[in-house]
Amino acid sequence: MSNRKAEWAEDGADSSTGGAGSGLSANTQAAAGSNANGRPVSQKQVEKVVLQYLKTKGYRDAEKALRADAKLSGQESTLGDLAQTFPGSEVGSDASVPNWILFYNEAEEGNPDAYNQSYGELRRWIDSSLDVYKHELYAASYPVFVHSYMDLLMRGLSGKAIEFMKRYGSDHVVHHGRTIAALKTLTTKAHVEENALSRLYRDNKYGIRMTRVGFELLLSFLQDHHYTLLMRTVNQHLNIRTVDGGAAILSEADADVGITGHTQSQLDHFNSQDIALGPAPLDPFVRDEVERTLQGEAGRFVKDATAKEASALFDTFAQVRQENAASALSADDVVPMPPARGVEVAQHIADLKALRKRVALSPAALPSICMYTLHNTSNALTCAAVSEDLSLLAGGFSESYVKIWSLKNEPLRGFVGNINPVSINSEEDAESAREKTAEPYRKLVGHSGAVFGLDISFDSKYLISCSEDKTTRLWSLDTYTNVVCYKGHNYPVWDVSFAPQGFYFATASHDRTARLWSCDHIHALRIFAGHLADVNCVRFHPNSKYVITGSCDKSVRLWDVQRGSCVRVFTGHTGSVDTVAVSPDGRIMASAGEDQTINVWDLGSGRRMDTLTGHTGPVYSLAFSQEGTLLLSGSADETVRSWDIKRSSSASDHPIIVQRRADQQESAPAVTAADPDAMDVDGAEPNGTSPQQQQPSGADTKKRDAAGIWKAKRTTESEALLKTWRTKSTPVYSIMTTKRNLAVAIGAFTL
Amino acid sequence: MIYSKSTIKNIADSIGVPKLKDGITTAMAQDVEYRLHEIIAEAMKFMRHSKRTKLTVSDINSALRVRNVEPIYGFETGRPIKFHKTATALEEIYYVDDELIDLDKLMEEPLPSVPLEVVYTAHWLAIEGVQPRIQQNPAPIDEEEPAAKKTAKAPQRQDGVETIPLVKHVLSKELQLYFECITESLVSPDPLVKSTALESISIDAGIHQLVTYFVQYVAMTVKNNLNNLDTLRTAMAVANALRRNPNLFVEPYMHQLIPSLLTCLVSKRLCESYTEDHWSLRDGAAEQIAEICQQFGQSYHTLQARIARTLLRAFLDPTKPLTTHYGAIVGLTKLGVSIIKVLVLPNIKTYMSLLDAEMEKRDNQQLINDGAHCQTALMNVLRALARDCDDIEPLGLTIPQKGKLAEVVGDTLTRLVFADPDAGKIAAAVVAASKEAKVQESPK
Repeated sequence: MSNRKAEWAEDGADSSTGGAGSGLSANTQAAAGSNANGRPVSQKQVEKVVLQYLKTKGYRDAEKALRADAKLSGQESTLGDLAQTFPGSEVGSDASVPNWILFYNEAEEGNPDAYNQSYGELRRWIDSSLDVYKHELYAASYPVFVHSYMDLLMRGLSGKAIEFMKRYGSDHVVHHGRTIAALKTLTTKAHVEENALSRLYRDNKYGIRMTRVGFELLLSFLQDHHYTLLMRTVNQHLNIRTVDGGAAILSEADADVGITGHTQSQLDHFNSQDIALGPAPLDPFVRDEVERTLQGEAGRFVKDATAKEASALFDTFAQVRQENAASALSADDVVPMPPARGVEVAQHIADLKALRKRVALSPAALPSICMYTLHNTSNALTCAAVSEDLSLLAGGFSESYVKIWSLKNEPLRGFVGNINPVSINSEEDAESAREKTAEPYRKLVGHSGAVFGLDISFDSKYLISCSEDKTTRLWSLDTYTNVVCYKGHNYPVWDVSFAPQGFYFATASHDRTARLWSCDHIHALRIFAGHLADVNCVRFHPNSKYVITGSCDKSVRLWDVQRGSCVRVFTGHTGSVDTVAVSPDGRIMASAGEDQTINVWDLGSGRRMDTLTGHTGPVYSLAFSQEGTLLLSGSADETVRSWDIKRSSSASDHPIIVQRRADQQESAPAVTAADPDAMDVDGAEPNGTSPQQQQPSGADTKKRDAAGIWKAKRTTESEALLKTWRTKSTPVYSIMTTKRNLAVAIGAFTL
Repeated sequence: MIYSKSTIKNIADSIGVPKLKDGITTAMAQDVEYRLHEIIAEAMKFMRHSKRTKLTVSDINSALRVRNVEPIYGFETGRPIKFHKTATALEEIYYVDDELIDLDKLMEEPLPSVPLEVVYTAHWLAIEGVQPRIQQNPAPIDEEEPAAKKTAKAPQRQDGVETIPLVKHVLSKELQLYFECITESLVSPDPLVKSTALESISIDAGIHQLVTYFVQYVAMTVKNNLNNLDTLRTAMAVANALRRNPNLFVEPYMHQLIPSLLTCLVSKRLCESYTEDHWSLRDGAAEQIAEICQQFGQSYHTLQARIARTLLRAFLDPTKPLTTHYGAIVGLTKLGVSIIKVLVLPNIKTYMSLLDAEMEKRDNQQLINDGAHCQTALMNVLRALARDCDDIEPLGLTIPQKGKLAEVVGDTLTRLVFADPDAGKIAAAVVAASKEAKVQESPK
């Protein structure tokens, strides 16, 4: 008898080294060792295990013999009970002898909640693990989840299985939505045996790539807690390939991830939910007011330049409306806004004027960039913003304050305390209620931690700032005082952003949530939870119906403001996402961050359009031109770069701009502004303006070679890079484009 | 492993736990390493959100605070922390030096200076995609475009057009053709073709991308054709046309244009033989410079002063040829009456004595010719003065008045003034202006 046992043990050792065949083998042996160390296997236990094995394999004769041999008749009833509890355990699977012996854990075998508990623990552990490894651990937990569910079903514990699915299924809906939906339909052992999908998972190993450290973390976690059920699944159903190097080199598109022939990433399916990206329709009140104002102006000044301009504006207004009407959101989709005031009307007219004055930008016509450099910041500046009308510049500092400068160098005179709004009836009244003298800058003091984000409302009346102290504060730019303090986040707030039409704002926090607030409520209206790690940045979609967040978990998500749910997930970054930007037409989104690359996404399909490389430092800020054809990026590498966003259709071209471009071409027939075959006049060709004249000479080819080598050195720069503007040791913190397509960059001069 | 078992043991010893078992130290070392990773990963978030690329002590403390751990006080300093090494019997230990501070001394020391206020400055990082070469922008560095630099040095001057774009620049085929066509027309002998080309430059919209090339063209033409009067005239006309074009934004290129204009104004020779009329070219250049000063004086308030200083230096340098003097005088005259009053008038007498001495040699026809032109130019200066003060009472043309005038402008000029039909007025204006200048000087 003892001979036979020895044989099995040997057999076990052999096949565990030979069979696993991956980095796992060494660890299984280690597991075996620790098993032996931790719980010395007594003779009786061994026999019990062997019995169990024989029983499940159906070796009845051998079982009988062993029983007789070991005189275990006294315990027969308990084993029988055990056997009855799990009538079908492991039948049909390829459970090998060593697995059975190595991962036998009486406590778990006997506990129908074992899967629930151990998977729950695994999930909690992954949640609290380092961000660097979270991604891969999360990926590894998926096959464990699937097999745990099927194991439960195989054991006939349908109730537990359903509960299990209910509790943890939602974790994997984003990436494996269809599989989860299909698995949900399986509710009995028979289903699992028949179903093609479950057979696929049962019969094939699930490929996974992990870094060595991540893999070791996972194994030691499972071993330390004796989650042998999960351990068995990992050993039996997973084919883990360890990759040397940082977590950055893992990419999802690898062929050996998942089960061959079964598409793993079902993100596309998740990303096919309906979303409405059209512009928000104009408030009827604002529309009428704008119309009335423009018509009034046109009528008042007869045959005057003002009248001419007003009527031109009126035409533009009609054109914009007509164009937006086609794609505008339906009434149900519109995010409710407070009743419009006069401000919106004035703002709208200003926008129309700006639209008429807009410079057409294209890859052939690059923008003018105004650079605001902050001096003497001694590394304390954390964020900066300019108001849309370029009247104010605001900077947030790690010393807990916000500083505002007037860009027109006018004194920033706030209202003095205790003014009675009733007594202010005219401009003069308002003027007299202001302070008599003031500096052209102001400090807003109130936060008790570094200010990590700030934004100025569209009408330059309010400023919002968020801080390490977990609060978000709203400041009035009339009184230069704190108006509201919004509390809700339990951890530092990383970013804050106003909605394009004001009133709403969104925050992104270390607590892995983004939240939506309205200025008149002190509590959050929506909590967007789903990111696996810190939410780094948040921006509104131009129609205010969606919020876009970028996170440390290397993904970008699009959230529906009304439903509060995630509608798109964009994965593909290899580092944390620190900034996102949406094109003004709301169709395209760009994201960038720590990994120094910019990804351009099509919001509608959720697909990646382009990956832009070239920056040599983390990218801090992104901005689209108003046409959405150019992307500007500011980075820690002290450059501003412009990128060509290739769009399939020219639908993005604003008809007014197109028309104006045509006008310009008429006046200068010899010159066309935009040419599809734009020649690349490179610095290497001094006579670049007349290439036809150049004769191919020896010196010339040499020159080309040199240029070629030089270019080869920088192959990392993608084709779409149009131009790089360097600054004098000034990392570019923020970049934006105004309605007239002037680019504004802000940076802090650092030595 | 970052921490060895012995490190753990050392630390345990130091806090009064004498004998740790091996198993415990191993477990501790592993855990400490993991916790460190955790804290550093957390601190990196704070670093990134503070837009820094260096991790600081305050980041670590923020991370600890977020994890609900007491921060480590005493290390937050503006200075970098230095670790010192000390060798014990077994191993080397690194520690941070704690400076001893004498409180009494500290109390007596004057307060440290208040840190500078944060201020902002604004400048153009790019104008229509081109980075202007101004002080605030970095100079294009060599290592970034070594190939471009190398080839740029190779002389390529067959047609005098040498364009070295500063940066990679996309120029459409049409624009290239246009530029080629214009530059060819500009050297055409047919005046009609030439004037058409110039007109095109002065009115066409959409050639803003070519501005830098035209400016370069002007600069190179002037540089390479210093004795070809016609070509220089063309270059000046191009510069003029560029400035006149309402659709172009020439401001950022002014600093490249002005040297060419100055060359055409004060250069020693601008033609093959001195009989040619290079004087009108100088007059034209002076006119343009004056216009530029007027146009951009508001935004660059040192511009006029700088130009005036350059011209004055040329005017007062006796070693310079008379042609240069002529250019300087004309240039200064065009800059306005106040410049004349402050810079030219006080120096006329000295200059005239020099000029007279020069002309008395009378050995060279060219010299006499040039001298005469300088005299005329100076007369124009005086006339400009007279025009400025229209309502002045004309001075009687008497001997004492003549003496007064000669005191200011010297004898030769006085003679010329008295020959002028407006002599009375001119004399009055000059005398008044010189008095004014003296009054202004005396309080100092």
